Amino acid sequence: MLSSAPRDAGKHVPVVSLDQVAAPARVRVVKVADGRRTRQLLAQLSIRVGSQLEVQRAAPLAGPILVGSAGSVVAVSRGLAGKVIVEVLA
Amino acid sequence: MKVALVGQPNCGKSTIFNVVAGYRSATANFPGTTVRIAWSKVRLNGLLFELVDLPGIYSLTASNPAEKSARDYLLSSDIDLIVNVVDASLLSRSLELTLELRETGIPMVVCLNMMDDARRKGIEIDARRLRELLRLPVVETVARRGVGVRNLFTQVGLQRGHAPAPAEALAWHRDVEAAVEAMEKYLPDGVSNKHLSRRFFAIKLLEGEGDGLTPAPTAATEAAAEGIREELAQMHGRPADSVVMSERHDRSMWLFEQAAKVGRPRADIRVALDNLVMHPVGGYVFLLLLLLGFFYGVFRVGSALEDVLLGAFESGFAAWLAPSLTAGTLAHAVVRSVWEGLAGGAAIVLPYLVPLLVGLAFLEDVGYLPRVAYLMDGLLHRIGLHGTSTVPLMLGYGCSVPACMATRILASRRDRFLACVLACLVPCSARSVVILALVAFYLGPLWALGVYAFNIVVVILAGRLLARLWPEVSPGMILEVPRYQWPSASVVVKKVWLRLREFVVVSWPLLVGGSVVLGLAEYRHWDQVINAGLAPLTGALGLPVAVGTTLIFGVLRKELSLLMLMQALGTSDIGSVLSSAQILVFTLFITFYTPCLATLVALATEIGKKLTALAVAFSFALALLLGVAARWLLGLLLAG
Repeated sequence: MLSSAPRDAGKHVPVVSLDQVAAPARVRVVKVADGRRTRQLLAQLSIRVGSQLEVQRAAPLAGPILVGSAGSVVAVSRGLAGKVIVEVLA
Repeated sequence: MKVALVGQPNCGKSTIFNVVAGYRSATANFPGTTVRIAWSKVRLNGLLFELVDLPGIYSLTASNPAEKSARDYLLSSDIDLIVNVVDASLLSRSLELTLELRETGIPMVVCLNMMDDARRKGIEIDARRLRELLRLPVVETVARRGVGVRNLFTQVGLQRGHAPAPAEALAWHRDVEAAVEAMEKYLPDGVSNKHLSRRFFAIKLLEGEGDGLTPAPTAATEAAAEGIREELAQMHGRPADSVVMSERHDRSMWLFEQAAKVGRPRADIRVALDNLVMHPVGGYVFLLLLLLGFFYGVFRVGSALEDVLLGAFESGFAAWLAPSLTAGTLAHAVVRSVWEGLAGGAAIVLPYLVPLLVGLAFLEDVGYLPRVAYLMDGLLHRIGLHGTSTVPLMLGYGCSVPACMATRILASRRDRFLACVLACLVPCSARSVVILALVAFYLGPLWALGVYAFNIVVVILAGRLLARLWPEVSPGMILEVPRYQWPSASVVVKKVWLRLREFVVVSWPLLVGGSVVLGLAEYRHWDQVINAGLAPLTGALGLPVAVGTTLIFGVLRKELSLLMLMQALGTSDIGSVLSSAQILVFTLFITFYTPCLATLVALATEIGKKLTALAVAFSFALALLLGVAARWLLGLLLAG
């Protein structure tokens, strides 16, 4: 679950946004779209480029996605999750 | 010496504060419980400490008003020492804040709290190694049980005046360090705030977080910072603040790998519990059953006690006081009023209030509320809010004042306004007392349930309406879901008392005083003037004219309106003088109309006077509309 930020995150990999991932899955963040504020908000809870996340479940009614990140569990609303671009790990 | 407790949300700062200062800062198991700065003087190990409990922050980049107040306090006050409280079970993430705090140059002690949880998660921390690498004292604690707290303050006493020593192992990559050094050179000589290091100023400017620093950076310094930021961004292909954050992340990862070992977590029933509580269907069923059980339980306990106590007070008056008083005299009016004020508090309010507060404290401490936020986020989006607003809305069932304060964890002003208005519409414990003691008691628990359900519908519709009037794209929710904790009985008791004291010390005397005022007014027939003035309102609602004064008392405290109702009507058996429809209309009106005085003050602080006036006008219009509509509808129903 621990992660480190690779400095070469720009290779061609099949990617989707976090809200499109079917739980359960392990993913790695390749890009956080949107502005500085969103990026910082997510980074504070260890969702940043290079982080490995565990997508645990998704709430119904377009509710949030529950992800495990760096030992904690974080609920991320669909809107925010749409801005986190990830690659799904095997 | 001034000591600030600083750490990420829900790491136990307030728990430590309460261990040494007595229970003064409410604690709960969700991020963002502390939204205002608590302060206390304590004597420990022969030293006098000024202890400050700050709202939790993930970093020194503030993203909501609660975090901003913590950051501003840290940067502008003369703090002698920072106690950095760390949730040991979230060590890798928490170390980033530790490193950022270390940059300030303020003397510092690291407190590894919740060591028991870390072990349960299979994380073994070598505190000695961590101490060597950080070059800071590291103390292990389990604050919930008071373990290690005394030792923590021994270290605090020893560390006073010792700024963190430079640690080479914590240095950043060479190019980033070069950028920091370059930035330091551009700082004017004057930039040496009494307690903040030059390096800290340089880093903050590099991150583009210069505002709030004193002395404020000059235009020339800002221009230089802009240049260095751009250079760094070009070199790394991403913004400078992101580069700096990665450096901290990189170092904290390294620290974690050096000082901690991750083994197998112990089998935990709590994972299975989440499978039920957060289940896409089961989760909502569980929530519904829990709320039903909760309010029904409170009602059963409350009504049983109310029956017994009210009877005891009635017969007490008849046996002890009535014989020595002549009916119709001033003395009789006064003594009777005082007695009724006392009886109202002890026999009607407390029986419902105590179980309600106990239940709520339990739910808060066990860590259920963030799970409700997870479940409700999707629904709340439809009324223009997001899941984080669940916390203020749920707290609203306890008291509107902390509910309004809790909106500080919301980032946007518009979200705070919406959450405040809606949280005030949720029946607080005082209004629950009215609902349970009137509607449930005289009409049956199902009717009370109907009032709660109707209230939720109104809150949803009001939310939709307000969201439409003030549209804004919400930034969305990101909320940490904490581990379950078994609430400590003594903490629950202390927390209930902290909230109950408010009733006993403030409301109850007010209740007795109000009762006397009303008794005197009746004795002198002044109440008729007030009632005549309010006759258009009571008339529109189809209530007896005598009810008028009680609505005024309701603005002081909501539970007063119920007790004053009994006095105004001259009986504690409301069912004999009011029809079922009148009881319902009265309860609905009380539930929705103008928030009580204490809430108005809290609202004005949170959202400003203008928006408060708007909120008051809105809730009054809503209450009147619903009251008149209910009268009309119930009239049709009950007549038919």
